[in-house]
Amino acid sequence: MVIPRFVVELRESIRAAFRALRANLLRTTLTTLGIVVGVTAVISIISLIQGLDRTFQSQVAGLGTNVVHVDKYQWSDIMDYFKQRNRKNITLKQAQQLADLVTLPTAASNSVSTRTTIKWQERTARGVDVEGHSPQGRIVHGLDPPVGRFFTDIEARERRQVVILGFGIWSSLFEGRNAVGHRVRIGGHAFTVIGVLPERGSIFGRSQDNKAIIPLETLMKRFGTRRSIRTALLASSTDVISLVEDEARGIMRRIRKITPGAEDDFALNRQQMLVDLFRGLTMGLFAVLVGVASLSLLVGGVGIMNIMLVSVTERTREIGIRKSVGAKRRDILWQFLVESLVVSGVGGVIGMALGLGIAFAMAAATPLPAAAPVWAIVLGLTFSTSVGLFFGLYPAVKAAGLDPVDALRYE
Amino acid sequence: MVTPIIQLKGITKDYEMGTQVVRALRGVDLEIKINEYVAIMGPSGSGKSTLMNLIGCLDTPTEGTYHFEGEPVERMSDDELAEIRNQRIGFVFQTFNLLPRADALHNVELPLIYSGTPAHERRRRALEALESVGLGDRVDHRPNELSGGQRQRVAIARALVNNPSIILADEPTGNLDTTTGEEILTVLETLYAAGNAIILVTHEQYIAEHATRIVRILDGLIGSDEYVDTRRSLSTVSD
Ligand SMILES: Nc1ncnc2c1ncn2[C@@H]1O[C@H](COP(=O)(O)OP(=O)(O)OP(=O)(O)O)[C@@H](O)[C@H]1O
Ligand SMILES: [Mg+2]
Repeated sequence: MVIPRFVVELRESIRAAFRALRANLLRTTLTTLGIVVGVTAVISIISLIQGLDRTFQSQVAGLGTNVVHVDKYQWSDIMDYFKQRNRKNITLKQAQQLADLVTLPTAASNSVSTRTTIKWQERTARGVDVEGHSPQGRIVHGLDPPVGRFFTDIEARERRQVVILGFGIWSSLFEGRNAVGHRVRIGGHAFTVIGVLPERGSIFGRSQDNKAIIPLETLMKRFGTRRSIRTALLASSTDVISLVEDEARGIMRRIRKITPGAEDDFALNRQQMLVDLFRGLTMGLFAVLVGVASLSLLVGGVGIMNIMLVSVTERTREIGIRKSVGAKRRDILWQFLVESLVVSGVGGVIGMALGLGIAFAMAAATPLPAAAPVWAIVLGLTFSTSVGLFFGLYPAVKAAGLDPVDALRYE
Repeated sequence: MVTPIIQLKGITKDYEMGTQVVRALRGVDLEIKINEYVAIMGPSGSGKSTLMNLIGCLDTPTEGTYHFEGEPVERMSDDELAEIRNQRIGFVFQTFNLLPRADALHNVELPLIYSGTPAHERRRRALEALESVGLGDRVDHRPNELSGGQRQRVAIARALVNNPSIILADEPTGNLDTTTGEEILTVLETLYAAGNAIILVTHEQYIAEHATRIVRILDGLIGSDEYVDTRRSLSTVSD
């Protein structure tokens, strides 16, 4: 078997690199610090962004692209939250008026939610989000139960005590058994189960299946609410969505008796706004990421260059010995390049482990999710080794160019 | 007529020290054939090491021509010179010049690494070389765990591991006591008997007497060049 000369020498380079690094363990560790910080930042922030993104996509998908949400708050305007909080709530009456008066949307649905306890036999589910919806909610929010059915117009009008259980509530109360037709107690009132929703998973650490849907009027009668009502207007296509908004704005201003020239005291929201808001946040994070990463990698790179120059000087005699027994320029070049690659690579691996650790620790301790895409790991390692290659090149070239006699004579 | 391994003609070597030029060699003509054991003598600063470095292809002359095994060294690239140092010349230094962090075996393997010899064969040949200098039981010792004489024997094993045609030894016993020095000379003697050409730099007359030929350098020039004892020479050395 013929092993290429290159491979034999590369092995020697790697061996020599580890031997040299072991001999200066503390120095090496300190040198990798910059790289470690850089890669840690890259990996942890990317993991968080990825996790947020994935969660966000699934959450936003439920809102519908062609839906205008009339609400007290502007979703994209977190900064003005406290200002908007002083607005008067949208009452059920106002919401119903709006739903009746609009002509452009294919469907309009009002909703509000409250939090209470659901019981079945000895089992209890606490802190359940009970949402009151109009019958049109089935169309506008895509709430089609695969088991059972949605409530009818008549049931809604007559404020019947019927409920569609979220997947999570159904599984914790009924444990896989049939629920339709059974009576559960919601906040002390008896409700008949008429359907079960499909599983939706959790968003920001909160289960989306921990809810129940009842007619809006039933909710108002039985529990009342101090919350503002939301109206969702379904446009037939994205093209007419701004027309739907214009109409809704005009009607709302009339309903809320806003004098001409005064600001709206309600907001029109679209899924796109959340997408944009999220993009903005993500971009901000990315900017931080790029800043931190490039700075620390630069610092790390300069550190590597410095330590490699020291190493070349310290090992001048070794270089002379190697050359005297037949090492070529490129052998020495490789040896020192491999050494700086090993330093930066070790830093990269440590940084990656730390980054993933931080991301998943945050995911475990906070509602923030994390996901580590393979490309982020590849990116982190590529980045750190490129830094090693780039900043290691000059010292390596310097070492390779040493004159054998001078190098041997070096004290 | 045998072609000389080493053929120097009008070799000079200048060292520039700022504005001052040191003429270390001032026109050296020298031919050395296979199976010669040459001792180079001369006062300190006369240019012996400079000459050895040139012969060993570690350095290049300022003027003159150098043919190594018939090939002009001046025209060789850096890589070709490295190959000659690797395959055809074994160098032994006064200060041993071993890698301090590597064990004896790895030190001896070094030339084989740069000739791309696969690991198992490298190990076999390095062990063989260490055996031949009587260090078969010290292969995993680092230089600082070896005596001076043992270190020099490791260096000799390294010099001969790639089967070079010539071994250059620049004061190999200079850092050793007389007894240990004798040991090293015995090893060199064995190598000479096995058919290697040897060039040895020394200050001691008794050491030079081991050689077949003594070349004296004076002030960068060859002062004298004589064959010591024809009985010892295995082939004729006359032109
Ligand atoms: N790198 C150098 N730069 C400048 N001058 C040098 C250099 N190397 C050698 N010389 C000079 O060249 C001359 C010959 O030096 P060389 O080392 O060849 O002497 P040497 O005969 O080996 O002496 P010694 O017996 O002390 O080892 C000396 O005058 C020395 O100062
Ligand atoms: Mg000398």
